[in-house]
Amino acid sequence: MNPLPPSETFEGSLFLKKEHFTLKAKKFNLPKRGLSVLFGTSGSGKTTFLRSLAGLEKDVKGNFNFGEDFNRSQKSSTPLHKRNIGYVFQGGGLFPHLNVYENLKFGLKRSKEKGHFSFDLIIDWFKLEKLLKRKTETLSGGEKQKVAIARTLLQAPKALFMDEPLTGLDRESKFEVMKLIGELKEVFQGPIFMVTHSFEELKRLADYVFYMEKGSIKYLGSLLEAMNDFKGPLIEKMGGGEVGSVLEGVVKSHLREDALTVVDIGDVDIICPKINQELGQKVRILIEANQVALMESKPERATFLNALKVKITEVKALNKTSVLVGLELLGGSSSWPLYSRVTLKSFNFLKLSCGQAWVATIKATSL
Amino acid sequence: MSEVSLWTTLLLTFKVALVTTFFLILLGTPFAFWISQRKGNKRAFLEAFVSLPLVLPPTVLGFYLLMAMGPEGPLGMMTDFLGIDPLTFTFTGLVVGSFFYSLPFALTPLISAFSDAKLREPLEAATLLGAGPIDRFFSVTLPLCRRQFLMASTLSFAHTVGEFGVILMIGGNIPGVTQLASLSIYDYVETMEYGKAHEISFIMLVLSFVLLALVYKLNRNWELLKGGES
Repeated sequence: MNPLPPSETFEGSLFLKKEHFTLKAKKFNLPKRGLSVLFGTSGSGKTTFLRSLAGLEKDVKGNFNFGEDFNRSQKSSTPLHKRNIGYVFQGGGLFPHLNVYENLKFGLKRSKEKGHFSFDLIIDWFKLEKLLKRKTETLSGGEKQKVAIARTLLQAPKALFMDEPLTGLDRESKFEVMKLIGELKEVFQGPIFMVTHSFEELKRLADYVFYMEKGSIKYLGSLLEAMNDFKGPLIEKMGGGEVGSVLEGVVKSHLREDALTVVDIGDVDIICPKINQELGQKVRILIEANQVALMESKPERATFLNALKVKITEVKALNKTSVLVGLELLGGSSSWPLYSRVTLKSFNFLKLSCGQAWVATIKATSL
Repeated sequence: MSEVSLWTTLLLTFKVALVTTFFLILLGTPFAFWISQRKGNKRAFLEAFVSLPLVLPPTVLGFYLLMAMGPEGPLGMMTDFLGIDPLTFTFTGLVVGSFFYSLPFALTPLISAFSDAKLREPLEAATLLGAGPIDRFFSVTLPLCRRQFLMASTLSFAHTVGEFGVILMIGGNIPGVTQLASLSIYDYVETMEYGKAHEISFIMLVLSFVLLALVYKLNRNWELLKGGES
């Protein structure tokens, strides 16, 4: 378990016994801001954990605070409808008897808070203008999610909870909603908690990860730490080819003619496919372990755009045929780790071991 | 035989049914909601209690209601205490009797509607969007259960129109006061006035059919409106 700094978090503890399932989270820290992803396989208890945090599960024992009046210490707690919690259900949870406009107004009418997002702004931002008069059952999955998120933002909630908001959407809508959530987390004042089992969503959106297994939190930390923690459970889980490191850097320059972007990750430049961001913007890039190859010296001619000096820091057998090699970038102030997935045959043939210096050729993708 | 016109009897019949249905929905809704929130043995006990009129011979129900309304019974003592006439052989008495007789027809659809798992998510959503319990009932439960309300009202109304045993016991078959259609048909048949029996029977048949057809049409429209959501 990786605790977050106390100034950035609420402390909590939570226990819930259900018929075939026990949720146990002794003392954890909830981030006050940013998007926390509750991650894990199905049956790991992530949705129950989300529901418990939001106050939807009865019989929860425990205590945690979101601001002053969100105290779930049993009987003294504020009634749920007065807590001002935003919740987006899987599939949206829109009211079938109301149209889009009436759905959007439902929380707004009852909210005592003055939201920092006006109705018009949200309609504009989420592109809902044309949907207002529609019946909810005529909406596509992506439209339902947009309306559901907009509906809860209009109540100006203290905290926002989302249960698999992207699951079951087609590629295009998924991308659109993902982009909205990405924009949202930059401007939303409170914490956002989101359940997913998709690595893609985790890598793109998360600031923090709660990795859950069998009803308890196995790992809690920032995404960048979690993805780059060689011994952490995420790397273990991603064994099937999804291992990669997520790096944060700033846009240094655009190579327009080649449709490429140079990202500075700390005095080291990484060239990746074009990113639509201004110079100086913070961006995330993903370097998958399968896209990192090791060679003795910098190749004269190669299809890889990046060839960087690295040192082997760790090695770990993934399965019978492949080994994951942890690398540290040499030169520059970057402390981002990289991973290379190599076959056991190459590993043995090249006699790879910790401390050796190699050149890593890298293909990076932007997130 | 009575001098009361056929239309007086019919009007009285529908009046009893309408008033009974009104009170069944008004009082039955909170009761059904309360039952729907109970669990285990308590729930089974309550549901069995509500369903009793379904299996009891109407005369048994009528007999006990008659006893209850009589001077020695709890309802009788209450009316006596309040200084009003006993309920037996009155319009109010008929309504009270019909209320119990049709109780399962009003409550069963409502209890099942309120217990429907499909309501859980919209209700949770409404709660988190700031709606309190009463607000939720009117803004979510009621509109989502309107088909079951329609069903409950129709069944209660139809069942009350068709009752015989209970009203015979507590109403006493007084023409123009407590003689409802079903009783008057029986009387006509007893006195071999088949023509009159046929007249009123036929009107009942047509009216009941028209009513039900309208209800099913409305039900179907709501279904289409909501895309098959029930």
